[in-house]
Amino acid sequence: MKRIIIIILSIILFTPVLEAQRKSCRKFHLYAECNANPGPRFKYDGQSRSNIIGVGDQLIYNLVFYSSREYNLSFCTSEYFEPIHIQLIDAETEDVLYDNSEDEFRQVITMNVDFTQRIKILVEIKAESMTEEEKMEFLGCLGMMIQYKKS
Amino acid sequence: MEKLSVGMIVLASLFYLNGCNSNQSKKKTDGFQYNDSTKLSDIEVTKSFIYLFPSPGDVLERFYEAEIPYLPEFLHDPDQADSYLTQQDKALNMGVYLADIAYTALFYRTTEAVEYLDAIQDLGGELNISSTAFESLIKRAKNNIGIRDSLVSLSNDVFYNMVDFLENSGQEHTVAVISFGAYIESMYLAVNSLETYEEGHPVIQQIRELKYPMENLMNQAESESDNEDVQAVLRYIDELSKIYSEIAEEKTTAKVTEPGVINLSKKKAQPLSENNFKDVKESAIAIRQKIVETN
Repeated sequence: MKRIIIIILSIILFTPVLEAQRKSCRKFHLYAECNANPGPRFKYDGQSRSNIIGVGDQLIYNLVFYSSREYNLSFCTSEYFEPIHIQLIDAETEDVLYDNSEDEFRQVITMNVDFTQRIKILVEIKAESMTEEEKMEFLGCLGMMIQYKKS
Repeated sequence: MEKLSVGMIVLASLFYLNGCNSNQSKKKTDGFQYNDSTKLSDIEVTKSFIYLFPSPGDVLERFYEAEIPYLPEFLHDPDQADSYLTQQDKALNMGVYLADIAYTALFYRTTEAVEYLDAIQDLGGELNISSTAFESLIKRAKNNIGIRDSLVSLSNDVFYNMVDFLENSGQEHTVAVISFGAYIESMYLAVNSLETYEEGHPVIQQIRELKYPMENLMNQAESESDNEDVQAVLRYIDELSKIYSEIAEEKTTAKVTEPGVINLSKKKAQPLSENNFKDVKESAIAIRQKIVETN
């Protein structure tokens, strides 16, 4: 009986924590290190986002990128969750256009776009310094800051 | 003790049921996030799809750069904001006004922009959007009258704040409806800025590019398709989608020029034909008419 009560109370306590954490991630990209100034004339792109993430979660953002623009994509998370694995995928063909695991897991990417197109960005955290137990246990914030200028 | 334990279990079970709903909403944690889970070793792999698109200000800025003229006769009347009765009409027209404020801001029409901001705030109240999402922006608008860039950035902030508020209060279906209203108004203003088709005209190119945010809007709306208001939006999107599906897409090629720098290009994009333009224009005008009309 005691055990059941403990389990149920844990669920009660855990649910609000998740909700609070979700809310605290809302503007993570605006305050975390991914909000660096990439240079003059860059503007904020409203497709920038922050989400809650855990190991094993794959966030697949579907975005529109416009022609004749240079985009600066910057991703950030807690250092315990690094490295961040990022793939840029052609939304029409599902071809992987770029994979940062072949580029030293860079978290800042410059993208020059010739034609307006839809691109999927797949993001997952590797959390290489965490133990398997910790990976199961922790959730954190992931920020994606997008800035652009005319090229 | 036994009675106390039973009482606690009942109480805890009630909370647990609430927790089940939270788990349901955990499937849609931040904004438009739709999950698909598979099991890989001990860690469950969950794919979440998040559909994003530019603000009406970003969309209309492309047309502004293509040098469309300012045509106020095509804007919606802000005084009609209180004429809409259903949630669907309110949300669609909220989107229309969001595009109109962006348009007037781009053309540096500050008085008109503030009128649209008032209309948006009124409709926002009726759609249960917290007034705090707008209050500081209205103050900022009134303090920055005369500064074009501030007004443009403010019109974008109105959109972002509203989306942020709705996504974080579990009203994703309302975002889908408002976004479509903003999208169709942007398209309506764009197609009316050209009387006749001119091959290679930058505005024609921009109208073609409206295909891409529409595809994200469609995916987003499909994810919320159990909502009746969203179903109406999907019927409109379907009409436009049929026209845009006639335009073939070329494969994207990517070249990493140096570490962390990628160039994305296509061989050549199929242009919008005269017939495509005619069809898009007719549909945009008809859909927009249905949205703004009052019963």
